[in-house]
Amino acid sequence: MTEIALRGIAKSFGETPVLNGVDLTVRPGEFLTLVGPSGCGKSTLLRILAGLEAADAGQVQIGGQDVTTVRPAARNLAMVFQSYALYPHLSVADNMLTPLKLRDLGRVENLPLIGPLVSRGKRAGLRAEVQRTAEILKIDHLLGRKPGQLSGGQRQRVALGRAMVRQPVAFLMDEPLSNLDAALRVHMRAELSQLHRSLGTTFIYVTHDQAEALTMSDRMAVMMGGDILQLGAPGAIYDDPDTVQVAGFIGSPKINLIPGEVDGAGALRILGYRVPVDMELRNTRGPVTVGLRPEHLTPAANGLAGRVVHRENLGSDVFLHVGVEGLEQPLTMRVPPAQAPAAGAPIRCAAKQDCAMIFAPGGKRLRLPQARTAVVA
Amino acid sequence: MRSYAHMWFIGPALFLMVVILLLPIGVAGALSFTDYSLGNAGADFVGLKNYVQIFTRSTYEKMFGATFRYVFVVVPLTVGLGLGAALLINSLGRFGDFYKTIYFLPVMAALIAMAIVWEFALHPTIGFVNTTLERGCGTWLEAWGWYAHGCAEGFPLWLTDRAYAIWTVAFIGVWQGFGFNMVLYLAGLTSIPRELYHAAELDGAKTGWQRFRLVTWPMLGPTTVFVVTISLIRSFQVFDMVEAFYPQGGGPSKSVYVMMFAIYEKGIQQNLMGIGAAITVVFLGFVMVLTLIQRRLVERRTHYV
Amino acid sequence: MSEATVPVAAPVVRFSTTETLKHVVLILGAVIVLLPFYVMVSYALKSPAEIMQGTGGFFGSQEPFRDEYCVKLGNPADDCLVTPIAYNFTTAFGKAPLLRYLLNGVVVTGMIFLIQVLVALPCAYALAKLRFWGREAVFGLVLFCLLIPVHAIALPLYIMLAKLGLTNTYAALVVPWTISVFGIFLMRQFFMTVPDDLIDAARMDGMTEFSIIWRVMLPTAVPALMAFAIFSVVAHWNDYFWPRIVITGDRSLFTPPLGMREFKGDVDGDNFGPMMATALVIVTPLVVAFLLAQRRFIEGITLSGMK
Repeated sequence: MTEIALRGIAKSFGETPVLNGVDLTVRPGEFLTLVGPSGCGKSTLLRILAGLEAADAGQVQIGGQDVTTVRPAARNLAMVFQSYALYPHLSVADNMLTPLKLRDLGRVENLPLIGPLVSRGKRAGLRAEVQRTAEILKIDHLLGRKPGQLSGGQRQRVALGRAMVRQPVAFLMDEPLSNLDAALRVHMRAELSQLHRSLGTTFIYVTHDQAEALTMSDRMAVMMGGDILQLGAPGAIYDDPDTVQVAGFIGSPKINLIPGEVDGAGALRILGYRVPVDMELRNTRGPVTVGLRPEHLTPAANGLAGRVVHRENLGSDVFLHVGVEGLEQPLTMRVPPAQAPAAGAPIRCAAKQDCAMIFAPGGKRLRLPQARTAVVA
Repeated sequence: MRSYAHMWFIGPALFLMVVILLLPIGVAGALSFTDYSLGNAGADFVGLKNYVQIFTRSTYEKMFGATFRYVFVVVPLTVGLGLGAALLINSLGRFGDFYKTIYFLPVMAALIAMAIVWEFALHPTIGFVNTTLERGCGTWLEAWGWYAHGCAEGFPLWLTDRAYAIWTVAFIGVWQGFGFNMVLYLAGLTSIPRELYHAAELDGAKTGWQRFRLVTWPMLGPTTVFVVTISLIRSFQVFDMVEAFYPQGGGPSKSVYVMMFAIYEKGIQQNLMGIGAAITVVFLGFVMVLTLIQRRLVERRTHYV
Repeated sequence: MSEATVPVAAPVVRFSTTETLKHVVLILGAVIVLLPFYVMVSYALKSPAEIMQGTGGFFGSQEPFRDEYCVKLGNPADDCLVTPIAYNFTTAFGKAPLLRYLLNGVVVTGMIFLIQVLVALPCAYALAKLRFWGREAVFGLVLFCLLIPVHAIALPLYIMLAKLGLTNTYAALVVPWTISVFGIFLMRQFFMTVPDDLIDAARMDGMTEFSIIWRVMLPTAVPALMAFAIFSVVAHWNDYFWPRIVITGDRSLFTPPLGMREFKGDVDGDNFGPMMATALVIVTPLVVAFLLAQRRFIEGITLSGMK
């Protein structure tokens, strides 16, 4: 079990800064996801870790050793690419055999014709290894085929297999599910999680899809603009985002971000209505942003008056988009189907007790000691 | 009305294809069994006589010799140099376009004009090549036996010496043709997904050679098949230079008597249409077999996309 | 991903020596490639004496010299002093109607391309977008004809043209090239990628099949046509074999490559300069066009790679 650490990684392409001194420690054996919108630098960070890209500044450590200048091959990491990057001219078995051959066979043994003769025993061992891995992934019946003859899901497994045979220190995955259709993607999420549990190896996973991040990771790092904004367990980040950006990125449907105000008495108000918050806003006065997730709003007799402009029925829940006069964006609100009014109906909505998150004008979360204890409890 | 539109669209093309491309093959086939000459009222059927001549007479033995010598020098060299130049240029990044432009120039320039320029450059006494070589005399270059011999006895008469003529012509063919292959290879190289190189890197391909073996060469397979075939067909058709250098007879001791020139000489110059047609048929046979082999190979390889 | 476009920058130490070595090899190649171009331009600038003696560097001294031919014509010797450049180029344009050749080249390549498009475009459209009996057979024929290099069947074509009395005419230069199966194939492949909806929409708007070709398909095919134009023009401007066969006597029908023959035959020193000037004039149009629009040219020439 090896710890992987990135220290002060900075990188820019020409004039454009992509990473601004990122620090990240990956615990041995964990499933860590780097999640963020495209262009946030997450793929670059992964490629720097892999050694495919050189950082302008900073250090990459694997198991306490500085590997910043070590070649990718020598880092003993395996990568699953977005396009799978299988060698199209080689069979599945040969694809999986390639990293083993390059690692274990010498120069002479890798020669065509002569190579197989001098290294027959070794090669048999490697083939057995491939066979074993293929059986775990249930692709042993595909070993003779070429990648072009496989479906997307099968290619995905072969790419995983090629990564697994080597028993690397960690698996790096760059959006590996983005080329699959929706149903298969959900299925592969579960399978990857299971695989991670059974292998016990570190997974470092890059995605722009927050659903993947939330469902699979032990911890996730939310990246934006070349920085890690928040690192933590998926639940903690969802419930307790540090900044308005993180709150806005994680969660679907999106969190409602509403302009509000803390009045002279320290009460939080939206369009004049008081939002029930169990914290004393002693030192804050003036405009703030109030974050309310769809499940934190509820129909109420006295609340913000609006009209249902759109109604999305998902079966188990109904999401109402409520247009409120004075707010630019309609509010999104989750209600049980039984209580859902028809589109066009007038409705009043109020925030549930203690659910509102308050962000200062700069985007920083405003927290008070009481509030924090409340969340932890 | 729509049901007839296609007749108007297909008709002209179909007519021209039949008259200009298919009919001549039939005509050549038919004439190859006769002793037809243009201007004669009729022609006599001579059976396989023309073909027997092609495969027995020493003139045609020389024809095949010259053609195959040319082809077997030009094809490997244009393909190899094309690939080499493409790999080098591709690895450069910045000044690549500069070299690409230069290497492609001979492809654009009319070969007949450039052939005559080469003829001057290779002129035995006042040509640029030999005067430059002579300047090297008396230096360390004379350690090379061939060079010392040249200094003492005079450098070769490149185009008129039997021992050099075909190789000199082949050299000009390589000079003219490798830029074309380079461009095809460059196109092939840019279509290789970058991620494959990254995968190879992570799989442990440390040396450039290993990455070439694992990714570049296999991925260029379809390009190579195409490049080899088109180089073969182009070099089988070499004519301009031969006619420019040796308007009569096909070079010293017919050592540069290539097939296209033979067709031209027999058919047009000597009005021996029967034998010319027979060479045409043999020639077409070569070219078609080559192209069919290429198509078969491409079909087999396109499995992996 | 926006970050994905970056080249492999493996963290290996860049040895500048390998980089330098690559440049050395490439420059050496460039020198050999450029050598005849150097000779051509240089000889076109120099006087016969300088060419014979190998003096004068690249540009020659440009010292006026006496044109013997002019003197022979009975002109006073002082009027016959010419600078080498002027001598080479006036001789090139004067001894042979080089301008006429260039004009012929433009006319012939232009005609060939125009007719090729007129024939190929409708056929390609029908093969790609219309359903009719025998379509597969016609396409099969196109694929078969792709195997036939027109140069190879020059002899029977020549006989047929001779029988029709067409040798030594513009028609002889143009007719064999009017059908470009490659053009049909290329355009068909291109039209296959045009969505059927576009054609159906045009039909709903009341266009005839004919106007669909020229008003809908032709404009969408412009990039492919440009490439094909370059492919076709380069091939036929530089073609020597076919004009050599069908144009035997009439100099007024010569295309530029045939013009190179004017000075062949009397290969003595006096004509080296004019000859190289002629070569320069013939080669320049395409080379300059290529230098101006390199990407398009390379695209056009490598088009055949799509087969």
